This record gives sequence, structure tokens and C-alpha cells, in this order.
Amino acid sequence: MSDGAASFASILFPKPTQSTEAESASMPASSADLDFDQIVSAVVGGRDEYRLHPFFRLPLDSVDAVVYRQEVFADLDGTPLSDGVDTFANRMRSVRRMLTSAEEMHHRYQRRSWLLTAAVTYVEAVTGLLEDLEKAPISARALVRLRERLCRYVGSDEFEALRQDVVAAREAISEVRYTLLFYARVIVVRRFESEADYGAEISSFFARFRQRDGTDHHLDLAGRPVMDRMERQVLDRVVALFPEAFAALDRFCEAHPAWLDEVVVRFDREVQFYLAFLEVVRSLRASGLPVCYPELSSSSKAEVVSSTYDLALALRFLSQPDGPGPGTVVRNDYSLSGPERIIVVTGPNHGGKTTFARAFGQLHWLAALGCPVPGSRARLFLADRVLCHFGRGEILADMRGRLEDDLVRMREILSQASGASVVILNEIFFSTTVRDAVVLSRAILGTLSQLDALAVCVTFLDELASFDHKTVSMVAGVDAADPTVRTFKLERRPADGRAYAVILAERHGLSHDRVRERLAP
Amino acid sequence: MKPHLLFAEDDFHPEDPLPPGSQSLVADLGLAAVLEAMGGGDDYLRGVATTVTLHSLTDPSVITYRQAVVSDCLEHREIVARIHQLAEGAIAEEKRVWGVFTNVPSGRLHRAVGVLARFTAYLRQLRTIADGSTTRFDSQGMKNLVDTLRSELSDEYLAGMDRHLELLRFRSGVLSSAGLGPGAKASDWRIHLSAEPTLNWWRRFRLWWRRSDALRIVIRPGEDDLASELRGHAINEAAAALSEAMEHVLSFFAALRFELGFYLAAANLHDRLVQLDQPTCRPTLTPEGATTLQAHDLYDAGLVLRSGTGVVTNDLDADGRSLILVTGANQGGKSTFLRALGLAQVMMQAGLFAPASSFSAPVRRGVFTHYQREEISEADLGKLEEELTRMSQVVDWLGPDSLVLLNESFSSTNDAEGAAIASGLIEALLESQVAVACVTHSFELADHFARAGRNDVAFLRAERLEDGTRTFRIVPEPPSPASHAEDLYRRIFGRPPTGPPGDGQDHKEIARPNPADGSVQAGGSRSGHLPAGD
Repeated sequence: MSDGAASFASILFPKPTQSTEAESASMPASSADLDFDQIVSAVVGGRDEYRLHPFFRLPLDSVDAVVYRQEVFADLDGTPLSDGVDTFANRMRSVRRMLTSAEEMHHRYQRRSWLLTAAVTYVEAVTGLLEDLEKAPISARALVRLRERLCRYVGSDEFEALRQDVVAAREAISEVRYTLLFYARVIVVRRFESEADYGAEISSFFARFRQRDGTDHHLDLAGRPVMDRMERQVLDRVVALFPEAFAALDRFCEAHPAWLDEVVVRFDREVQFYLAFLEVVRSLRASGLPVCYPELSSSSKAEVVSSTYDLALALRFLSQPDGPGPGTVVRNDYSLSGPERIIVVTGPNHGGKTTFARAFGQLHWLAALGCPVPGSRARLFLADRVLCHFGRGEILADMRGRLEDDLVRMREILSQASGASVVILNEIFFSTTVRDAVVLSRAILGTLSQLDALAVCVTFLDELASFDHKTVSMVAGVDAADPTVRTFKLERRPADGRAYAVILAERHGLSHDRVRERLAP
Repeated sequence: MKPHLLFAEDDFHPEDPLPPGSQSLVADLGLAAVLEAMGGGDDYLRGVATTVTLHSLTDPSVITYRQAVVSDCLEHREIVARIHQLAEGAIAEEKRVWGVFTNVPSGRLHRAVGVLARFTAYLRQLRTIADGSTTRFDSQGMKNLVDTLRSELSDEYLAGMDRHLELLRFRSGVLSSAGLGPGAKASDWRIHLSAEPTLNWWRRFRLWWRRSDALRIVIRPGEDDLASELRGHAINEAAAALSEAMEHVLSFFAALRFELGFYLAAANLHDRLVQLDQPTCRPTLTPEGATTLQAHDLYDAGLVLRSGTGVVTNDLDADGRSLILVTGANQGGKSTFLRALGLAQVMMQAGLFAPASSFSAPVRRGVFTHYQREEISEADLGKLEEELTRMSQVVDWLGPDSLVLLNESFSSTNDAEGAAIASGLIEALLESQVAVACVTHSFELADHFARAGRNDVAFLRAERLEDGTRTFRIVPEPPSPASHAEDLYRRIFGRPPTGPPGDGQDHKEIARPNPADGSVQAGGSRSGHLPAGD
């Protein structure tokens, strides 16, 4: 743990050097099999300008680094501070856009006017963020350090001078109002003299006919941001009519040629990692799916997880309004204790086995990024990497080629795996005879068992379920009342023996008691 | 300035989504024929009738408010039709005014001035009609409309409208003001009239020209487009304000057309029923706390309109009964009776008259239907599953004091299971203050309630005479075990079903329900089989 006075550099990493590692890391091969790349795309969607992908590539190597992020997540999760940071980000985006606009202007006062608006927004962004940090009950180390850093910055003479000049110039400019008289081939420009608003008079005269709020009838005449010759001529005359206001603008521009702070700019990018993920968390919770902060250990491999699910699947359902809805995503519990390391999953086809395997991999990956995970509760081991091998499921003519390929990939995976890794094996050796598959699979499981790595092995080979004392057997469930109905849940349900129709009615919430409940005031 | 003919205080919002279950309600009650008659061949009126009728009322005072307007409109139909025509004419007029360059403020302003100038003629005619009908109407709704038109469209107001439309032609130049927006572009434009209205524009302009604080720009050749673009900004406020004014006046005409349309549609329906010699009545709303539910000469208005002839009418005496359970012979008029009851209720709650010589019923919080249907769902849902899904949806919409009409619900499973589901469900509904009217062929279900000895159930049966003839009348009588499907079989096949009729179980096997009585009648022509009149 660092001391409280440590200087602030990054909201993502306790040690500044780690961020450069992340920039250069590449997405591990397993991300596609686990649908992790889909998750990342969904999370960072719409935030391209922040280039967030790199932050999802590098698992953190210490529980402390994970906790550093979890603290920030907790302080931003559904709190007013998160709205505050959102506002800050929106303002910073405006600042960037305005600075770009300024570059494009030809007229001196058009350019300066954009610079002023950008500076106004920047000052609001920084002071607003500091205010929000001071109001919020923050406990994250990263945010406490950020607050201290911003406090010093806002208190500095330089920032104070910027603020004052900005305010003075903006007030002067906002008071400018002028009149134009169009008649024949002449336009007369002069200072506004409180003439009455005729448009308002028209509106109130005809208001009695109003049945409901109408549409806005203003034509959008925004046009080009750069002024044309006629507009420039008007502006020149306005400058002549209001010399004091434009003098204030000149004063601001000459005294403050550059004002963006490096730490603020970096925070603006990195904090999007949290906002992006929390946006996803919000929509998951809104559709009734639990999300929690895992408790991580770098030594104990005892795991307890409740109601976890395939996040990629849930996000796909979320994005399809006509689909089955994210609420229908199946949730699973599992736990590993004592020597248990390997979950062997068997059961009917399309029974939710692969989905569970993906969920298991995603869980460890997300946890190692410091992110919240799908589930209502999770105690997890901090994995150094998540490796996986997904068999292709189909039987090809060239069985030997496929098997060879399988074995080569398996060797690669095992060579990367350590005792701290998570390994997902899905329908491996599908492309050989059952006898061979059993022999090969037992060899692989033996290696994993020796490594002491955490693993999920999805297989159609029932005998693997009781491989050794490290394996735990889980079976994709079927409905006890109707064995053809799959529950997609990895557990069994006791039979209740009632008539099928009545069970159906109950399932639709139409039993006497359920209807009473539903209609209760 | 609102018509307020559908609600005394509130506006009607045609764009509001229809209550849930409306589609089923229309299909199950055969409401389409009624709405068709209301439209009288006019698609617009049919649409109005549909929207208003389906947005069922729950406030008794609004229902009586509309009942009075309906009577007024039947009495003074020609005045109502003239106002409606004017509204229609104004709306059509607007469409005839072509706009050139309405993508620029000057074009848009020009069009709005033109349209509003034409509208003033229609508004003056409205005023004239209102002036001539001050003492004609009895209903609060029509009285208010006449008063509103007379006070809001005063001579002074109409003259003011002419004056504004003249000023907005800007014959003497445009005066406007602006502030500095982002990038110093002009923003927050406003349009002004001169502070010196007595001077003519040319003299005022010369005055400006001489002022030392006024700077001039002379538009040079080649700058005309840029200058008119700038002038466009200057008059954009005026164009927006006047376009909005135009929309408001138009929306007023539209509201007038819509709300009067409903009453014209009611008159159309009334005409048709009178033509077919059918009784109608103003329904009596059972006050809160009372339980009156009575009908005389109740008939299925939809069936009458479809067949073009009178049909069997029924009486109902069901005070204090929250469950009406109709059993008895298939093709015996059960479904027709249920539709008649549902239609009367729906029409009453739209403020319309009822298809009966008298009808008294409590105001329900929504009328819903659950009818056994032909297989309509995707292949992966079983028939029962489909029924259950729909029923569950209906339960979502129900609440205390709503009414649900069940027609052979859960008959897609066997009798015992169907009855088990239905009886539990219906009991739960009754306990939750939901009123239920249920047609069933299931003796098991009917018997369940008969044995319970409840006093809140009205048992009705499709009448069947000793010789097996159906009268299509629905009479009060407790359920009996046979459903008489063999009669139907005999009629269609010309011989008895194979094997002698044994106990009730056998009959039920044959007597699978028909989703809508009549829809599978042999011969194709419904009316041919319907006994006429009472």
C-alpha cells in the first residue's frame, strides 16, 4: 500500500509505469473463444476517441492493483460522483471540439471567441470536477490523490488568473446585442435599444388555438461555422460599436496562450474505463441481472460464486429489444473447496455447458482487470492468464489433421499455463474415437491436476467427471417433469409429479395463489 | 380554445396508445361491424370511432357528459355536420396552399401568411354558425362549444388577425436584433416592430441613416445571396412564430373535426340500428356501492349489422352477481350472448347508447377478453401454452372492478385439467374484485361453482327444448351435464354420432368448442341460420 501523500498520475494504475505495458499488450488468443472480445466491444462502444481497448488486455498482477481499481469502481458505482465525472467528460469533449473549431477560423474574433468558449468550458470542467470530488464521500486511494492534485492545481495563481480573465471576457461578450435594419440594398447596424419582441407577440396572439405542444418551427439555419463576407462585415461593425467587450477578449487571449493540464487530460481518458464498464453494469442491473465486486486472493484457490452468467450473451440480449431479454440468461452457482480445482461439465447438447465454461473464463478475466463481475457474490483466485481450447464440434473428413491440430494447440496452451492460470477446455478431442478421446483427455487432465491450475472441462465423456480428487462434476440440467425440457442450469431439480397442464399454468403465473398475488393492490 | 366535447375539462389524446388487449377486444366482440357502421363508409370517421370507443371511460360523470352530447347531436345533426364540414374544409384548404422555398424563412413566412389569411374566412363562418345556435343545444358540451366560439372569435380578435397578417408582409423592411453566439456568430435573433410606429418606414430609415451611432453596409452586386441569407436569419423568428400559429389553428380545426366526428359516427350507427328496427337506450350507470346489472332486449349489435336482420334478444337479471356463467348446447347462442353483453358494456363506456331496450351496469375499469382461438401462434408453442400466455397477459392488465369475458378458455387441454385451471383462476379473480362473464361447455367447471353454493354467480344456459330444438335464447338455469353436441352432429351429418350417447364424458369428447359460435356454421351464410327477431 502506498502512503496517502503519494503523487497522482493515473486513475488506473497505482504505479505509473504499468500503463505503458498495457498500451503495447495484445489481446490474448482466448478472448475470441470466450466472447471476451464481444464484451470489450460492447463496453467501449461509442467511446472510440478514448482508445480503451488496451486497458482490457492486461490482467493486473497483484491483488493490490485490483483493489486500487475496485475502490474507484465502488466510489463511482451509482453515486452522484459518477454523474459528476460524466459531466466533466462531456465538458472536456466540448473543449476538444471547440479548440478544433478555433483552428479553422479566419476572422480574428471568430477564432478568439472559440478559444474563450473552450476556456470557459475547461474552467467549468475542472472546478466542477473538484467540487464533486469534495462533496462525495470518496475512499478510493486513486480518487483521494486526484482530489489533492486538483486542489493544488485549482488553487494555483496560474489557474486563478485564467479563471478571472475568462469570466471578465465572457461577461463583456455576452452583453453585446445589436440591431440590424434591412431595407433596400442597405443594412444598418447599431446597438440594441430594447425594442419589443414581435415574435413573442405573434405567439401569444395565436396561442388560443393551441391544442397541445407543437413542434419547433425554427428552421435550422446554423450554416457554416466560418463566417461569410456579409457576416464578417457585420462583425466588423459590431466590433466597432462595442470596443470594450472585444478588448476584454483580447486581454484573455494574450495572457493565456495555452491552458490544458496534462494530468487532467490523462484522467479524462482513463476514467472512461470505469464509466464505460459501469454503464454496462447499470443496464445489467436494470434488467435484473446481478453484478458484484469479487473478493480476490492470490494464494487461495477456494472459490465461491453465486448466480454468475455469460456476460457476452447477456449483452447480446440487451442489444436485441425483440429478443428473449437479458432476464432469461441462465445463472449458475459453483464452489471449489479443499483440493478441488477442475470442474467437469457433462449433460445434454445445447444444455448450457459451453455457456457455463465461457462464464467461468470471463469471470476470472474481468476480476483480474479489477472490474465488477456477473453474479451476486464471488470469491475468486487472481489468475495470471486465462487460456482456452475450444474444439470445433463438427466431424471433418480429415480427422487426423484435426486431431493433430487439436494436440498442437493443446501443447501450446499447456506450455503457457502455470499453477496460477485458468484453463477452459471445451469439447476437446471431439474429432477422434471415444476410446482415444478418453485416453488423451485423461492425459491432459492429469497434467492440469499436476499443475494445480483451475480449469473447466466441458465434455461428452461421462467418465471424466470422476477423474481424481481435484475434479468436481456438474451436469447440465433437464426438467424433472419433462426430460425433454432443458433448464440450461447446471443443477438438478426434484420431480414434483403434478399434471403437466397445471404445472404449465403455474409457470405462467396463473395458479390461484399466484393470480391473487398478482392482483393484490 | 378547445372543443372539449369528449371530456368536459380534458383534451382527448388520439395519439395515446390504445389500452392493452384492444385488438383482442375488437376481434372477440366482433366490434369491427359496429365501427364500420359508425364510419358509414368514411375511413376517417371509422378511425375516430375506433380510437374513441376503445379508449374506454371509467369516470361516470364523463360518460353522462357524452351521453348528453350524443342526444344533442342526434337532435341537431345538421348543425353538427356543418361545423364538421367547415373544419374539414379548412384542413383541406391548408393542403391546397403550395409553399415555394419553404426551406428558407421567407418562403415559410409567406406560406403561413397565406394559409392563415384563408383560415380567417373559415373562422368567421364558424362564428356565424355559433351566433345562430345559441339556444339550440341542451348538453353542456355543445353549449360550451358555442360559447367558446363566440367569445374567442370576437370581431375584435378577427380584425387583429388581419392586422398581424398585413404587418408580417414586411413591406417596409425588416428590423431585428441579435447577440454573439459561439464563434461570434449572430445568435438569439429577435424580430421587432419599430419603436416609432407613427413614422412611415422611409422616414424612419432616413432618420437611422443620419444617426452617428449607426453603421452602414451597402450590399454590393454579387452579395445579394449572402444578404438574403442574413435577412433569413433576421425573419426566422417571425417565420417560426407564424408557422407555429398556423399549426395551432390547424390543430384546433383537427380537434374540432375529430371530436365532432365521434358524434357524427354515433349518429351513423344510430341510423343503421333504427333502420334495422332495433331498440337502443341510454344506459343507466349503476352508482358506486350498488350492484345492479340488468338488461332487456339485449342483442349482439355486431351480428345485427353483419347479417342485416334482427336476431334473438335476451334479458339479463344479474344484480349482485360478479360471475356470469353460461353453459349449455353448442351453437345455442352462448357466444352471441357473451358478445352482446361485452358490446353493450364497451359502448356504454364510450358514452354511446346500448344495443338493448334498457341496460343498467356498473362502470368497469377496463373490459378484457380471453377467447379460445384457432392455432395462431408459432409452431413451438403448444395450444395450451398459447392460451396460458395470453391469459397471463390479461391478468397483467386486470385490476379491481375490471370485467373479463372468458369464452371456452383452457379447452385446449382435457376437461378435468382445463376446469382445474379455470376454476382456480376464476375464484382468484372474483376474490380480487374482478367481474367475470364466462362461456363454457365444461360441465366440470360449471358444476364446480354450482356445488360451491355461491350467491354471487348467475347460472345461465343456452335453451334447448325437449325435442332438441335450440331457441338461441339464454335462460337462467343451473348447469346440466350434457352439452348436446350430438344435436349439432345430427344436424350436420343427418344421423346420430356413432354409438349410443352414454354419460356426459362421451359427449364432451365430441363437443370440442368452436372458437366463435357461428364461424363454422355449414352453408356459409350466417344470417340464413339465425332466427329473426324475438
